[in-house]
Amino acid sequence: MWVENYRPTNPNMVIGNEETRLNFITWLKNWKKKSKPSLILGPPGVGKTTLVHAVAKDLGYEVLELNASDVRTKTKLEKRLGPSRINSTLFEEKILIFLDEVDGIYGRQDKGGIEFLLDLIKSSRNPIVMVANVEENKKMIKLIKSAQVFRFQRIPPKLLEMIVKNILQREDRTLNQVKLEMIVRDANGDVRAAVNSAQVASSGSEDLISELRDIQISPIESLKIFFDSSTSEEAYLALSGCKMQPRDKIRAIFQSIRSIELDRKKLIEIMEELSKADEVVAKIGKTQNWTLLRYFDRILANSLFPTLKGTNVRYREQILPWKLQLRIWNDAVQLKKISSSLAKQHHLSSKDASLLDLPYIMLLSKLKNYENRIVSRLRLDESAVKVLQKEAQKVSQEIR
Amino acid sequence: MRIIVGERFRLPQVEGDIFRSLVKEAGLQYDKTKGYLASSETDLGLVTKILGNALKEEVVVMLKCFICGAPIECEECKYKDACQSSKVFQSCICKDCESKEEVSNIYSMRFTELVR
Repeated sequence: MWVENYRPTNPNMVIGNEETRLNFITWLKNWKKKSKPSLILGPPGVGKTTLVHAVAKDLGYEVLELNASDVRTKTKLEKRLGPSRINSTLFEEKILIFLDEVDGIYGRQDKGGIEFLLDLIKSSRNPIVMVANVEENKKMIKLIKSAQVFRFQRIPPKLLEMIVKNILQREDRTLNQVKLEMIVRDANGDVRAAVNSAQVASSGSEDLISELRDIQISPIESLKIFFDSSTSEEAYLALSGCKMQPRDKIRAIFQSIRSIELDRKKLIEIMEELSKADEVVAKIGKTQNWTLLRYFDRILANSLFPTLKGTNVRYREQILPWKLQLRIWNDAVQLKKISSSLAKQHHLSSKDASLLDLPYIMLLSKLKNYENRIVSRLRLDESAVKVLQKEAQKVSQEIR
Repeated sequence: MRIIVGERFRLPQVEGDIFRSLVKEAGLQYDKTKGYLASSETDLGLVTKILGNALKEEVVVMLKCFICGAPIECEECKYKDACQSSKVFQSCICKDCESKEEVSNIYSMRFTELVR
């Protein structure tokens, strides 16, 4: 991707926010112990994170990057950093502690994370750089007060045009002036958006650009474009332009796929790809590593697009009756509960318990002597028992 | 009246309330000897509104070209409708510099000079 290939690695190569950039470089150059940490505020796609990495590299700092999920609980943050890591360095290397998307801490129920973060700010012997998108968060006032604030603004359209033209030239691609200006306007000061759009437009899919870059794309429209896409880039832009939650996107795609008759082999192939995306969301939820969500649309588009190609799957809204949908999702929750209880009993991971042991437990539960023992041993409630019985019935039918 | 972002300017004596609004609310910097300065922290939309009412004349905000330092006429810019009016960018590039070959490199070199 162009945005990654042409990401500036030197602070002089970052474009826009010249005064703020200069002030930030000066801050880090002059940083002394007990100096205030810095807080970079600004909209997405203006080069905040890029600048931190570039300046750190330029000044010889090793970046220790943390995200909001790491500072969600005090224990997690302590584990990740550890007092020794914060305050002393074995080989005297210069460490910069970088907290990306720090506004994310305040959006959630933290367990001492903020207090620990403020303590860390007071006690750290290393420079701390925090980055946030929003400052209109009252809860962030404490943090703003304790830090040296650098405000980034959107990149002026003329500079955006300069960036895009430069990349096009280096890629030996062209775009006519009207399209170029349209991309620059639509990007609204966001370099990432402008470069992504230029990449798609110059590859011949320009007709969709204005629709895909429009942040007002409704979920339905976005999913329609997703299924009609002719390249994975278009599919990605369609998904990223949609404000739905990742799980809802998966659910909507699942429903659309199930709404038409597909060859069994193809169906398995598509479902496998969809499950991979589902696993990614589950893993993000489990590790609380919310920063990874920014890659979700890319993963979903890149994995699903090739398998969906050539099929006539189109967006279908609410194909399954609501009651049936609820049952599907509720059953999944119950099965998870059973697996995790089984995992504890058998000293396995939940994944292994559900893959290896659960099918046998289901079969055993069909036998009268075992059912009560399983229920009491796994401490299953009534709804879990129902699901277990239902699934056991299916498994035994499959075997027959 | 013209205000160039990043350049000092002087105003006729204004009332205390207006001065306070300009400095405290709009973030205009003031130095007794050097005059006023609009920086990246200044809410220029608010400055033009306050000064427009106080001076009873049109206040035009101009940016400086980051490369050559020339003032830029935003009114003539093809992107004037796409720029934010209240929060103006720190700098821009003028028409002449825009058409230079290797403008990206010139821009980066100019920043390198400032860092030194």
